[in-house]
Amino acid sequence: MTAKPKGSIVGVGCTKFGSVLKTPELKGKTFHELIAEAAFEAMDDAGMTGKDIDAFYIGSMLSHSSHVYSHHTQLADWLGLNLKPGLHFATACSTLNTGLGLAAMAVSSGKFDTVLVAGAEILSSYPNDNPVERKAIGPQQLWYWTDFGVDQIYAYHHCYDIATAYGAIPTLGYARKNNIPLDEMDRVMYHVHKAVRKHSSLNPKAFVTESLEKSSKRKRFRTTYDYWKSRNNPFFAYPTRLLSALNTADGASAYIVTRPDKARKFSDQPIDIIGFHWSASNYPWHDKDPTNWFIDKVAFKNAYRMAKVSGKNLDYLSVHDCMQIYQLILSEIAGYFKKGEAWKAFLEDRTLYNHDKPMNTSGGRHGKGHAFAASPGAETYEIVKQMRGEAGRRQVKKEIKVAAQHNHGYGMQTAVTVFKKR
Amino acid sequence: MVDKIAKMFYGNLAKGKILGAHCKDCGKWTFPPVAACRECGSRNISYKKISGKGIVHYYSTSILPPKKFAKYSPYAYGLVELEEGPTFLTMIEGLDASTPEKIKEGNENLPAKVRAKVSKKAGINVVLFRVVK
Repeated sequence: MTAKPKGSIVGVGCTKFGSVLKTPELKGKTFHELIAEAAFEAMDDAGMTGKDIDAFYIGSMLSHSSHVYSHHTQLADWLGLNLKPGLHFATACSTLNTGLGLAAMAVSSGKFDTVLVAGAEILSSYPNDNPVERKAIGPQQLWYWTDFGVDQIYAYHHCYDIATAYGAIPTLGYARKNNIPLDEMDRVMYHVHKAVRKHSSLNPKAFVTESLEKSSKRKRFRTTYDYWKSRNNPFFAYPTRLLSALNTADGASAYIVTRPDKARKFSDQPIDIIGFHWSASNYPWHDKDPTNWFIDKVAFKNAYRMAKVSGKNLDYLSVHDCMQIYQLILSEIAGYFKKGEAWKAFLEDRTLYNHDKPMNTSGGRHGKGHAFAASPGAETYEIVKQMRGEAGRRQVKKEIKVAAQHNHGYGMQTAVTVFKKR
Repeated sequence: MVDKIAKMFYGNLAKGKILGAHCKDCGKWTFPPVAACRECGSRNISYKKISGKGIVHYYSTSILPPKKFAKYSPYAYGLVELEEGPTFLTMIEGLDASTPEKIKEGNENLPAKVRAKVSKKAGINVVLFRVVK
């Protein structure tokens, strides 16, 4: 018997992820327009207008590229919510996952019946002192701003290296702990990435819509694994290859949480939030074992306790994979796979949408793309669509009754939310 | 009243002293020093010199280091377990980060003992470690 719902999702929205400088669906759009696009899709999905929404929470991380502070004030009239209570919030790349718990608490308290949560991030560019002209951001500048999210008193100034800390060292740790030779570990990460690209190729709103096999053929490689090991995919930080890392993207996402007893009024298939928890930690977020992630253990344990479920009860799991090694480490911490077993499951492609342990079917932070604060909303969108049976060509074959969503926010924050289909 | 802990830490580095925070309640160390014990949250702490001894467990280097440290690239960035307990990541001297093959070989020979040192990087004194035999 799972816990009673604390809030119910009755509408979801998500834009295409890509670049406002290049991607046809996004080109020329402002931060405000991206938020409105995602929020209106969620409102239409719930059959709501602004009149039905009692409060709104707006999430985003980099004000350097949005050029917006106190975001909700500017967005009130763009969203048709003028004079409604709102706020801006941020827990970096976990922002819209944290928002699920915030919204559930708001409707549980009785203060509001219905809350809209929306988030956006633009990482390709920033306004060039002109609302409709943007200037591209180079990768070093983007990471300079992004790294404000990591310990700025000590860690950053001690020769900080994000790709090594977040990609290479956890991968080396996972391989050593499980006695996997590093060449074999490369093959494991190839399988993880193949699943990422299979899923994103089936997701029209993803940033990368070409499968790994198609990329390999287009570049005339004999096998896809030859392509994986080629110069096209160098070591970003050995043993982590470039394709195992995130793709920064522009985009927005939104969802509407309402009182569980009123949810049927807006949706035939409300998705209930039955548990959530957050945990925060300064850098580093582990001990001498770089896969021993205390913050994730705390967040999963408490979210599961609230939901009255365990990892064994999950029909679907979404984990933050800005580095794809996290799919292995976190699926074990979540109890979705037994300790030391995830790598074998990935070698057997068991996490694909049409196999027995589906995970990250949006394409995750490489395939769908990483629009920092908005990314978790894209995963909530994915979970709601999957639970309703509306995920199109990547629809998970088995019924998803219980699902969990995990996100990391830079620094580090972990947010975990547990969902249930009625 | 909170001490100027960051100034104290970086000021002492200039004198060759590396300070950590020692908790008078639970006995655990926090490194680098902050205003409360990372283990138990107590504010009853003293700022003391650490031994400088540790073990490096893993290292690598990336092709996109922060702009500030690009001039040192490729450099070994590693995970160190201090003798006092905390873990810390910084530049490690004495490990080869020149190629993926060297990094692979280097990690196969870890863990290894390291000793802390103070060095100026990108204009400020910071704590590095060097591998010791």
